[in-house]
Amino acid sequence: MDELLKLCGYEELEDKEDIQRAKRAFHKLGVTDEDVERAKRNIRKYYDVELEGIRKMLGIYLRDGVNLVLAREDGRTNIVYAIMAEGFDLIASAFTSKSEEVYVSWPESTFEILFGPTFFDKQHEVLEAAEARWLKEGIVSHCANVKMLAGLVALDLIPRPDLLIVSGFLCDVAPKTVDLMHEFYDVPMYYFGTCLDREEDEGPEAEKERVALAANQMEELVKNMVEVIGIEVTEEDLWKQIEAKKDLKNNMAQIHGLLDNSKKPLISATHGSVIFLLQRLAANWSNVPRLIDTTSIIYNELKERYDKGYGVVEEDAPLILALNPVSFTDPRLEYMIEQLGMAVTTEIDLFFPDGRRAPEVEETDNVYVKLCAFLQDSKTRKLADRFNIFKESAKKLKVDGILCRGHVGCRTIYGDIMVMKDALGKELGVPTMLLEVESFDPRFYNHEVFKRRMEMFKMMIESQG
Amino acid sequence: MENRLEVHMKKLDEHLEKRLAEIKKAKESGSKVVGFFPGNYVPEEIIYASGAVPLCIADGGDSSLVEASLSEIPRRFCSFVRAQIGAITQKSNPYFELIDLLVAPIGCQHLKKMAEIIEFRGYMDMVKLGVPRSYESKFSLDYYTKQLEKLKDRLQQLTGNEITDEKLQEAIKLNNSKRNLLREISLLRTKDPAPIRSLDFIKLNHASYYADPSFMVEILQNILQDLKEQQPDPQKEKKPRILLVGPNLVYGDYKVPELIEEAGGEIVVEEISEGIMSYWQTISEQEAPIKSLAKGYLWDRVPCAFMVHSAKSRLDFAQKLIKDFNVSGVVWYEVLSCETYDAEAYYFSKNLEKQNIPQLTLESDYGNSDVGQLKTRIDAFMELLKGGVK
Repeated sequence: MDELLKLCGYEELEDKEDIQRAKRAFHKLGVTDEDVERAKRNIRKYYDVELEGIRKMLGIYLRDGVNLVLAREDGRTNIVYAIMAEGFDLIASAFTSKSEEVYVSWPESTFEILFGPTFFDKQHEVLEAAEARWLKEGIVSHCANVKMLAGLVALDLIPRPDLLIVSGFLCDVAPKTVDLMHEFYDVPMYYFGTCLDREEDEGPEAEKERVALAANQMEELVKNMVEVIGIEVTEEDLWKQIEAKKDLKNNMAQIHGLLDNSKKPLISATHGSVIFLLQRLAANWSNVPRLIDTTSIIYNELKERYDKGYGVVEEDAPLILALNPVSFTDPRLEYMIEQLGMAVTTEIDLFFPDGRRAPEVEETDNVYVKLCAFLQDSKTRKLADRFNIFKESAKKLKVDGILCRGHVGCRTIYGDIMVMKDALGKELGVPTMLLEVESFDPRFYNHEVFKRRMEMFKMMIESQG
Repeated sequence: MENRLEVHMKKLDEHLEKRLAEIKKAKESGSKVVGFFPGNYVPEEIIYASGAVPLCIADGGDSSLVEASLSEIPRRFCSFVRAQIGAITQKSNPYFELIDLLVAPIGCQHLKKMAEIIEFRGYMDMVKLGVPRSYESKFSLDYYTKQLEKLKDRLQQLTGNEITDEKLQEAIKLNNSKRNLLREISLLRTKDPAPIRSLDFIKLNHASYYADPSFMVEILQNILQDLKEQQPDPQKEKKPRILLVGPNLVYGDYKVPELIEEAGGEIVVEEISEGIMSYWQTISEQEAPIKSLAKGYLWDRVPCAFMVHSAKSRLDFAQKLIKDFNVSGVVWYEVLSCETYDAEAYYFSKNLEKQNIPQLTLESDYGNSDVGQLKTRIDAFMELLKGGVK
């Protein structure tokens, strides 16, 4: 146990209480000594734990899991779960900054990491619990991210929430699941969102209306939360949150700037989603100082590698632009690709070619409009825009091939993958390959099949080069 | 009486056979043709008021088109959406060829992605009509109203005709007639036995998407009149009365209703989003027309399952249908990969179970490979229900 916590960046001074808390949480979760041993092996294999920042990053996830499991014991009376709720972390931290009784989590994200194959490898039973309910397995391909939330609650591995928050402009299944959790468990739920109906020749007014729809619903969400939770949160509080998280935002931008602009991957692609999701943990105000510190360490360590010209694969390794995010739970694919001597870009599709996640929102005195910056993310753009983002990124990085990860659980990013593959291949003249994956379900990974396909892809690249 | 209904249906068939040529002729004379997808989120009234020919593309049932779409859209998309992409790439649906502008409701992710692919590939000119998922919210109504205003502007540009409030009122009146007549015909099925087969009722709905609206109203009036006058047959065998629920049941997708009939069941009412015109509401003719249309199409209706908070209101509505139509069992039919309906199927079955209303959940695509399995399950379900028929 001590060794695991050290691998997760726990520092000696805080260990005593943390060890006891972790033990209690592990007991509740059914994590055995064998699971702990497995986690240690997996962490050493898939994570760059030589880097202090990575160890600390894992610790933040582990703490969130422990805190979540023990939330009721800790006297939290308002436990809020969010799923697909982009932009909500700032609203959440405004509430958590005012009362320790409020705890906000994206439990599915945290437990996809803790229960995934890079950690305790215990996701199966959670997914199966969801599949025994309304998220059945089979060709319907309900998203395993949503299954994780439903399964964790169904198995009582985490407390039943007091409030559920969801958005749905990118997803139908998350709002549907939250709606059904509301019906079955009688937990209040709130939704915010807009319509991603962007058109080629629309004027600026259309985007304003789109943002206004989301912003108005966010404002209503805050009013409803104030009523349900009984804590006053004003617009001024939200502005303060934006200001307080500037350092975190800058650190994240710097990390992605480095990753996305480096020809040589500075860190294994297995870390892509884990780093990206860190921002969500800022929903709890108490995590913010640790997050700022950790992201700053990660940036400095990666910068050092960048300055030294260090890369995680050989100098002449073919570089693959991989569309759609690396698995949020199971980076075995990226690990295997790197073992085969290819370099994979990380998370590039979540960002514009200049490394920014979204263009800055124009100056506004409406804090809710400011919170809607996520509506400018590359993943929210229409197909033609996303095609251009990928095309420009591929050109800038001079990639040797394009791997189209088709996340079968997500209609939004899976739906256009064939068209995208076809169009990028024609435009760039590099080999392309479509690989169906499930970004949140480790059961989907078939090592032998995937390995054969990637070996073939490498041959295609080499024969072209 | 059956013969009288057959006469009307035959007349309708003849009209539909000539319809393609009629629209072509209208197009040659300068009329524009505006296509849209079913689901009842695109108000046909605005298209009609622009002087364009409204054409709801509600074709399905052909598995070869579903297969043909595989180079464009993955297999985990609903068969209806894939069939449309297949029809466009294969140029198999002559109606698509006539379309000057396609109105695509940006509702569920399947429809949204289909629209994006059609737009990206440049298959046809398109208007994306945003349909907010939080349908109950006033902000959503405002947004949707603005979307309808934009659609109106775009149609004015396309046709060169001004869409006046008077023209809109006239179109609302015409479509209200269509909805009211379909509702009245449907409500006749609260009687036991129902005076019209579900398949005929479904086909009337499908015909209404392609037929000339005025002609359709006339046909529906005649059918209603005849059905009202029809005397029930006291000798007719009592059959399990079925509520058919699902995301879509479009033109050509008749496999499941046919199997239910063959198994001795009688579908007496349908709650289908795509393929059955939403006829329960009447659009107000008193308010400003666009506002009235927005309310009618977003608020005053049964929401589709992709809408937030739809589960409870959809279940409440289904329970009302079960009571009003004296339903003995629910057949839930969804095309493969429709995630929101699939999730709701569980919610419905758990709730209906409490009221001793059995539910059979079926999934299928447009192929025939599963007919045997579907037949076995439907037969068993009907046997179960017949055991309970008094």
